[in-house]
Amino acid sequence: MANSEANIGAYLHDPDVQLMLRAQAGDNSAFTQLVELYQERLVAVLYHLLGNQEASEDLAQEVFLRIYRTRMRYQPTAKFSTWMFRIANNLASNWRRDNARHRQTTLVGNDSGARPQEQLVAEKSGLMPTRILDRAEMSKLVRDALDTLNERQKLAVLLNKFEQMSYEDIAVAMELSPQAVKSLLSRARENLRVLLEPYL
Amino acid sequence: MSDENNPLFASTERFVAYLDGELPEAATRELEQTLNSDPAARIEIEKLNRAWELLDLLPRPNLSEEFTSRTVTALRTGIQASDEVATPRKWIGRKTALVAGLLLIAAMGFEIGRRSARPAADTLLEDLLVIENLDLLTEIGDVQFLRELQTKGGFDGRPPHEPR
Repeated sequence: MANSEANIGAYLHDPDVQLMLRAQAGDNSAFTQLVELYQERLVAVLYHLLGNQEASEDLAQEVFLRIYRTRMRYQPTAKFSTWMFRIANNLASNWRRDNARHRQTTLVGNDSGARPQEQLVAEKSGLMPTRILDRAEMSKLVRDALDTLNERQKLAVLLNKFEQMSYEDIAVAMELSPQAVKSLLSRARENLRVLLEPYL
Repeated sequence: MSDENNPLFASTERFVAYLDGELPEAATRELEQTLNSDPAARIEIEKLNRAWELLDLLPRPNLSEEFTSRTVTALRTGIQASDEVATPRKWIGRKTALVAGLLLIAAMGFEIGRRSARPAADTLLEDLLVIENLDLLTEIGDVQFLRELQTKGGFDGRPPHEPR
């Protein structure tokens, strides 16, 4: 209890926590401000996570709705962004699970055979790492390299890279220990280094 | 050998934590000394850093123009829905009023039906006293006259309003 109270005190200086507390007290304009502040960032992370613009917008909307619906139970025990990405992570996991079931059904009988991820990235580059790639091609290669990471690695990378979240905040958002996040990011970055080495 | 016990993984983990600014101060100083004296380590950490910077090339999604308005509309709908969920008594009250109204209409319908279907014999029984005394009542002809008669004790010789 004392710990929880200390945590609450620690996050009260977060301006977004203040907005959320105002929304909790019935100030809808404060909540609209939060939506405007976070909508692009949230959609960007979900887009890279799911690779689907429409789904990322739908999920982002659902994240905001859930936050609004549960605002009366909100306790500022973490940064607002950490809490928001935790909800986003849970919704994205559900979405992937539902879509994986759908893909499994549609891919039955399609024996494409698994190939190493590095081979896939190399093939997409036309096997010409020395050729000067334009920005669009390079962007596609980076996107493919990111897609080779498992979902947890990918989310940790996105939160660390684009949200500048600390290991501790990522741990809260992903419901892991900070040490697990450290290992996750280490593996992810090593994988990216190996995949993108020809273009470094 | 697990990742944690693998010296190569351990050094990558240290490099990554260093690049992320997550390495404790003492470990940071130690690693910087290693980097000064070990060119292979410097190359390794530089590659990790450059691969990380390539992520800046990832396409940024353009938020569709209607996203904000869709979100606000969804929120408004959500607000109304949550208000209804938050005040179930209101809904229960509406239901009760509706049921009571229907019951009242049914009762009125029943009474009207009952009255209109009442047999003529019932009406005759109700008016039996008047029918039996019709001749007398016709002779009196006036209610005011009867009242005056009662006031003067004309019915049984007792003073008016005296208990029997």
